Amino acid sequence: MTMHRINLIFKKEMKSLFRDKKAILTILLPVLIYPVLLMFFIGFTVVVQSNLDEKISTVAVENNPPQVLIDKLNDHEKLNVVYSTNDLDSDQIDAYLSVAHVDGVENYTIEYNSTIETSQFAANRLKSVLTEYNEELKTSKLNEAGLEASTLDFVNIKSEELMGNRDDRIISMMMGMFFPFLIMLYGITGTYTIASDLSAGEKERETLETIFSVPVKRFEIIMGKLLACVNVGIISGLVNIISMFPLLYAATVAIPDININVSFVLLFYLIIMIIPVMIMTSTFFIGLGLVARTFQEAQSYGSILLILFMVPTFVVMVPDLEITNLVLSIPIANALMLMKEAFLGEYSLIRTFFVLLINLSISGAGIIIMNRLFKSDWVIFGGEKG
Amino acid sequence: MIEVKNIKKKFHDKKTGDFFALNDISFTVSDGEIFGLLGPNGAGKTTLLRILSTIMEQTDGTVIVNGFDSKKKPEEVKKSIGFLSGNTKLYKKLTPTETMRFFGSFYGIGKEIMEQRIDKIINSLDMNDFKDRIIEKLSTGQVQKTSIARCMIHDPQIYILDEPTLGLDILTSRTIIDFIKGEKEKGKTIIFSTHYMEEADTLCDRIGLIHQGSLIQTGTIDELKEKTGKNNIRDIFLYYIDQEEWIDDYA
Repeated sequence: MTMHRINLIFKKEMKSLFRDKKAILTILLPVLIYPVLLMFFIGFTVVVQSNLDEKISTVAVENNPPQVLIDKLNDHEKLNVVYSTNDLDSDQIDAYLSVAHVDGVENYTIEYNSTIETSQFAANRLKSVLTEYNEELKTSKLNEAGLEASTLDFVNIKSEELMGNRDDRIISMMMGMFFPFLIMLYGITGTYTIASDLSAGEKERETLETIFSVPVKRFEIIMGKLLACVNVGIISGLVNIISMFPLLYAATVAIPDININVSFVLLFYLIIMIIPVMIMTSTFFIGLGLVARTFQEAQSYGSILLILFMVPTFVVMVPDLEITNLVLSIPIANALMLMKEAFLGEYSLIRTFFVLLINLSISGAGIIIMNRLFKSDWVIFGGEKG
Repeated sequence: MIEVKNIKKKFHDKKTGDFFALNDISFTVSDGEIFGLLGPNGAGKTTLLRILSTIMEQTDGTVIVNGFDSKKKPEEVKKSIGFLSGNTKLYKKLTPTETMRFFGSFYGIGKEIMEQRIDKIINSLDMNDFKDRIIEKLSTGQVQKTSIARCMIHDPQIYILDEPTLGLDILTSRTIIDFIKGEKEKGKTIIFSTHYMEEADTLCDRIGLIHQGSLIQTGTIDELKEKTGKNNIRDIFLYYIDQEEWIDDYA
């Protein structure tokens, strides 16, 4: 085996790939799509949120609540209070407030629809006014009895978020889950796209016999192809990382307390974690493509394998999943879990070594299987004879 | 020189089980000779030529090409031959020049010599107009010229050609025929299979008739005419096929 010959095959495959406009578009599409999608998503969320904040909630009050409460409701700048619902279309009412007097206690009921954002907003506004009203009543009654308002406060409760702002922590966790998942998803899909072409596609185009007739070993050919496939997977993943990094950086600037460590160390770590997974998926996709008779058949088989590879990627989306030895033994999922940790600034050398060992071992097995298939006359030429 | 000794090739079929695509084939092709391999579809011509070019390995027997054993020294065999068949298609995204450079790189040809050879081949095959156009945009004739160029880049001593004119129009076929004649003049050894009896008649010094995996007859065309009392290759071919089938039926 010579690296020179593997390199020749690899370069030829890459040259052919980069002259294929469709393949280039598939790889580069995320660069164009991600920023647009995320800008659209963020813009849309901001607009919807601000519209909801600005919208006046119409609330209907029933059974004559006390005038003090009515005044407080009317004083709220985002509430429009109506007294009778008989003349009104119920679609225009966001929430209902009714009162019942039982044993000298005012029992209030808020009726709203939690699936409708405006109704939820109206209910929240009513709750805040009622809480305020309750506090005022309590203070007034205690004062009448000659007591301080704080008399009834037996316990003072103060919450402090250790990891900073709770919302920022949630955003960090979401990014830690979401970004590694997307990088892996695009990487695996990248290898799937090219592997069928490198294996079944070449069989179908009848170029295998040409390359077999020159002084190059089959193992060298298949390694050149594998290198090209892995490279495309890494490029797909990298394109995603690169297209995401400005957005991640913008997020760190916009939310100063965000707990995400966007750095070259992270970028390097992500690549190190991705490479064995790309080798693993490439070997299996190429192997399957070699067994297939046509490119389309390879794509069909590959799509089933793609789904199987997708299953462990969803592990990263499971909230609060602990990194146990079992999780570290599941290929793809193990790399993703460590990538998730890396996003939160946590690196473990032992775990990294263990995961690389497992994923590279499976890749090695994949290479052996792929090479055996490529050496088989039955796989390459079928039952063909002339 | 090519020496084929007792070649057997076994395949496995899911329905019928094991069968021999080639059964005890032996023959020799001398230096500078054109040897034609004739036989119907499925006779085993392609399998035999694939074995000679080390694309496929024989189950039993020996193949010596240019002094190298195909099993022991497959790379040396490959360096000695130029293989061309209907199944040796080219990479569509490369240009003819890139194709020659790519395939030539596997033979350890120096950069300078490679560029000289590429220029020489481009001129001799009249490829200047399309040498830098990607192959998917070339006509069938231009692709065929590129295939020949690919085959010639390492200046092999032996050519193995499997039905090189199959499915080609008369003009494109002529390119191949001229190439074979040209290489013969340079003293190259050529073994080729064909369906076209006229081609064999015009080009071959000797022919071999292959039927159901066995080489049933070899000789010069004149020798075979004399043996069979027939006037042309078509009749000679049919004569031996009929005889084989009669023997099979009798058996």
